Amino acid sequence: MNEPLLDALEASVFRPEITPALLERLQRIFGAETLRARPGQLLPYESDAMPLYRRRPGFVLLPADVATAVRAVKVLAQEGIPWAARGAGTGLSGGALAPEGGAVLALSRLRQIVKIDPAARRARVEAGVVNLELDRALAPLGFTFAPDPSSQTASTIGGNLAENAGGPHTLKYGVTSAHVLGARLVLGDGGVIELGGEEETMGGYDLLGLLVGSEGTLGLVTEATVRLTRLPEVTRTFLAIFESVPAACHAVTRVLAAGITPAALEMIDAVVLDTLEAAFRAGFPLDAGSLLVGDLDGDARAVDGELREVERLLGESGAREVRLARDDAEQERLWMARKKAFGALGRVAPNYLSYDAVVPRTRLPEVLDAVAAIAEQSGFRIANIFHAGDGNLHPTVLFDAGDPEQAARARAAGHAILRACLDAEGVLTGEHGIGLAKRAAMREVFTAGELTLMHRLRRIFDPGCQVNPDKLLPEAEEDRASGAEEAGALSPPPFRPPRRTPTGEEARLAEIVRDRMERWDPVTPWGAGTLAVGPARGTPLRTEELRHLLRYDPGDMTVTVEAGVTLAEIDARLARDRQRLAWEAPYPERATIGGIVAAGFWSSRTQSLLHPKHSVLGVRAITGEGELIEFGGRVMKNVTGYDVPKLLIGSRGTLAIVTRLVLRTYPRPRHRAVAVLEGSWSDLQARAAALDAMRERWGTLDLLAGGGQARLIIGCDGRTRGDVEDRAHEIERRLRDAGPGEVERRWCEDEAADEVQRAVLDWIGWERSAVILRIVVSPGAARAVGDRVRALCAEGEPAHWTHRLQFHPGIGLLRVAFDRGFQEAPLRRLLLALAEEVRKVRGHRGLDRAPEDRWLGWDPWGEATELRDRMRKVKITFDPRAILAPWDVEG
Amino acid sequence: MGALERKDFLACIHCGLCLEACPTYRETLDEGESARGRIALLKSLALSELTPDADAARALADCVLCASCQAACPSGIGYEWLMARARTHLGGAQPSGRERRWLRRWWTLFRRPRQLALTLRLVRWAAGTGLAGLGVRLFFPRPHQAHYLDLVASVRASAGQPRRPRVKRRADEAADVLIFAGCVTPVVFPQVLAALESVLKKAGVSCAMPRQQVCCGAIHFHTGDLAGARALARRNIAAFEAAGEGPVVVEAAGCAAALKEYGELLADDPDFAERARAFAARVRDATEYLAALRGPAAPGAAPAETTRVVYQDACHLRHLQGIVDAPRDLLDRLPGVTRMAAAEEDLCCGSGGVFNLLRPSLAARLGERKAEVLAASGAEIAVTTNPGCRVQLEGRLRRRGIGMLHLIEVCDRHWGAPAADR
Repeated sequence: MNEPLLDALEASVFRPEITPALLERLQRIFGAETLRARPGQLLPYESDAMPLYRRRPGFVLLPADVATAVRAVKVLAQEGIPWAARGAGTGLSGGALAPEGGAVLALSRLRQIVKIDPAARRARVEAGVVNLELDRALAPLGFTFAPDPSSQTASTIGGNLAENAGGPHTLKYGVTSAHVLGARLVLGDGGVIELGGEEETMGGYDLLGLLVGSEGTLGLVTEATVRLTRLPEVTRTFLAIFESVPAACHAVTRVLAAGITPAALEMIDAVVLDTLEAAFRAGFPLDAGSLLVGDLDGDARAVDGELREVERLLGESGAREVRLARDDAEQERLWMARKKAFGALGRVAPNYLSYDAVVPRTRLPEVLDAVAAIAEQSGFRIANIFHAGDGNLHPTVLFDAGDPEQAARARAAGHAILRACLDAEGVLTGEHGIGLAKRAAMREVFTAGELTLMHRLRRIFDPGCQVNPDKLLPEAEEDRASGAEEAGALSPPPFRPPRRTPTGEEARLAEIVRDRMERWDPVTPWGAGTLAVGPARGTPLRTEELRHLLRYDPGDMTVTVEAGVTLAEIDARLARDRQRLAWEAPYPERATIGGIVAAGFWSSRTQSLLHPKHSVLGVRAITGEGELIEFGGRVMKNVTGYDVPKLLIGSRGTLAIVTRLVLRTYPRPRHRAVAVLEGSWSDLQARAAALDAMRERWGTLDLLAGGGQARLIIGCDGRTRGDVEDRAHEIERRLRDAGPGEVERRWCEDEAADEVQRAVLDWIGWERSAVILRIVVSPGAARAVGDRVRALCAEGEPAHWTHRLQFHPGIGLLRVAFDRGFQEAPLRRLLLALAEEVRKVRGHRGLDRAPEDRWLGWDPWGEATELRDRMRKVKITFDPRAILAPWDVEG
Repeated sequence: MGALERKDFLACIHCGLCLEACPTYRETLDEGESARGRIALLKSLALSELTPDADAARALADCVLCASCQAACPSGIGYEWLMARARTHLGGAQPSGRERRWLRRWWTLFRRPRQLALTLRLVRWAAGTGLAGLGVRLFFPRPHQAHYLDLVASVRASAGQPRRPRVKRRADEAADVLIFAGCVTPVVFPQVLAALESVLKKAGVSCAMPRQQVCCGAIHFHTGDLAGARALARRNIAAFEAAGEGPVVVEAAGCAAALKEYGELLADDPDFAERARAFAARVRDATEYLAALRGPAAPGAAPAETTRVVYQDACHLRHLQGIVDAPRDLLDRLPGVTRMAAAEEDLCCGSGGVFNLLRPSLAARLGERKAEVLAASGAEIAVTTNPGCRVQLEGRLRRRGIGMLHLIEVCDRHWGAPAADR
């Protein structure tokens, strides 16, 4: 669907010139320390780390503190000057270049670490804090900021957030999006909003999820709240030497298929081994076909076991030799060689064109073959140094841009590489972003309708088209030169837009929506209704015919399903290959995956696996205009365009009807154990707190209370029986140390443990409860809030209501369920009191279930007023006529 | 090795890994004051894409030439040489007219050892009597007075040290090692040379200091007088060739780094190229030489208490010579010494040869930053390996109640009696 009006509007935005008078005004406001306006001062800001793109800014502002930065945005808004933010300028897509006739807002001086809170496992940092500096500050406390892009010695948290940075350790720990929990955003007009906070999720639509990876186009992030990850007990680094690239690729798949998730798994091919060895002397053998550098981390004994297994698997896959780093120094040398490898390429050739495509892991061999063929044809050396575990490759064409013939040939080779990656189900960019460099290619991967959707989302935050306007989304005019230096610009031939071909059922649903749209007659998307807030209002639009599990690739660890498939069906299929989803839900035989994702249901498993929203790799949905949109793909990392899937998760069908999902799968732990403890609430709270510090990746904690009783369910899992036993012993030890007195407990294993966990999932009683409240707070405040909620709820029982509590202090999630037959007035008072408790700790709350008449005064989103306006605009963007469950958005 | 061309810049791919290593970037957080920014400026000037202007000149002159960017660069860019050549040949990177006139005086002075020694003795006397401080207060611009007074204080701290006689080389005696004394140390910090001789004696090593030696030329090289640097190099090479064949031990890290590069400096000189390489191969920084000596056979009497020291890396020891661990190991092995850890070890103190004379405000910021970090370590004594750093820091440290010694002095105090035999 075209939007000629939008194009015309954009093209017609008036851009005032940067006059000497303007510079003088800026000088008076900001002073010489902050303003850079003369050619000699501006030249260094012409480019980021991709010097093939250069554009001199009209001026640069270097605010020394957050207040000045906000002021700068306001002044720029008043003057009508477009701008781009810049951290350390280490980006690889030209994202930090000033827009034409625009300025650069450099945040390198915002270097304060505002707060580190180990108990809550959160830190608040200014946007200019250097990634590695944050790690250095956290290390003595036993924590790290998990995202570790190769640029981390220079790149800033703000930049990492804008690009949704990756790095070698995202394989196990996730991309930046999983580690940013809050951000202060200065909008184009100078207004400041706060998205999220310390909680695992924000209330309402996931605007924060949209912000991360938005490449600085939605506003200026001045501060962020980030997740702290506990440092593992040990980290072992290994180097595996292979004779060929395909052998190494297969090894990667085998290791992951065996249920082992290395912390990092990187590949370096033979093309530049001699250069790397000369530069870093890490001991790379010069005659190898390819190398794998990897990390295994975790508890010492578990890691030793994994290491033996990994060595065996690598050997079976054809590794000539597997070396283990003997000490910290060797470990550092190996990783430095990998992380600084790009820089070392400067020794080989004066210029490079580097690509950042992600393909499904099992298709790496064919893509690398294609790259090798292109190298041979074009005569260039093409180096591959990349995140093999994630399927995120960085084919790098080495050439000399000073020779125009070479430059043209290199560009052509680059296009061929990109074509080969896209043909292998790849995506344009996994971590470097679209920026300026890949804008035009966006037309290759998104339909006009999807591009328009993204434009509209952007306008919600930047109606004035001032915030980094020429990045990420393609020009309104086809193929117009962007004004950046043409030398080496990636200007592809006219691309064909993709086709979204709906299935029969998708077409039918879309037709219904369009029909409803004509008649202004709303519908309620409906799966099985197991997690619906209340009975369907209006006409339910059922997804039960979307019931095909389309494909499952255990080697790639992805599964593509239609929205109406039940969770049990997916689980059963995945179990045969020893895998599972991050999603879980009560009544899995009935609950549809589309419904679960629409509800954004999360519970215990989030403690060991991260919030399940991060496992949604791709989404296909029908908007409120009856249009089929598709975002994402069958790849582990993706920063191609805005992270629209994040908006759809938890949106309860109010934005679009999800018809298909691509989900990441995870190894199913072979051995599980569960301990059930009975006791008093306060006693169990204390014991839960003692367990809080246990390594987060293998445990779950559920604190259940109701009917005067309380129970603590402690779950742990492991790859081997020995691992589980070790963990169980550690749990026992901490329980003993937590307090005097024996706490009655019983352990059960494997299938019995699974039974217990299944029962726990529905302990809250989704079907029988009339009201279910959901409270989300910072883990730092969780204990106190849990105590208060428990106390307040207990006051009214049994006279006014019966209730049950399910509490996960480690992730700050609490649910309270009330059975039918409650007395309205006292419950209302209780809800007000609970809302106040949540407000005091700046958390958020919502209803997971409510009676038909929603007079209880708890709106479903429970969202702060300042954001509701933007949420409403998001709703209108997807669903202009409010056809899709409009009653679920108003409260 | 003349004008800069495009090919000189090919190694820089703009990755930015040098940013956090660069002291002026860490202080200003302005890309223009970073290594990467300076390379971009130099390239634009060299390719005539930028008209030389005051801003470019200032940004380039603000470079301390600590070479920490060179050490951090994965691409191996030869930043030190790039800047040296630029300051010699490239308009826009060369010192400004006023600076050049001032520098010319120094360049000439440093080529005349006797006049230089006299001048430095004068400075030392003025510092010791308080006249220098008075002069600063009367004639120097007010905003920079505190900085220059700190420098004067550093000189003053050693003003009372006895002048040591120069060890003459006797014609019939061959020394184990030859000492390159540099310009500043024999006059301003003579106790360091005395300590060096003492330590060598304890280890049973004889030394001599050739009389014909002159300034190492580092200041000329770094400020844009390549010809002058080469002239001095030739004289030093000749002097040390005549004096013997043993290692040339250098107490000042900055001089050692410069001497080790004589091979490249005279690579285009047909008469001296080979001799320069041979000479450079003989050069040892005192720290690496002492570390290799492995201490005397008999340790001294166990001291009653330990001294807390903190080691301060001289940039031209750490980044240019790549010597990082040896001096630390040396300190760790000394009885009676506890080494404290300091933050920002790799960050320059702001001395930079004559940088702290020409660029007082930046030098003051860096100096204060380094002094704070050293003070925060909890040490009583800061240990340096370079007179330039000492002048920059000793005054500041004394204000914070901390002393400063050369590594050689610390070794001398804590190594025991001379070994009976070698």
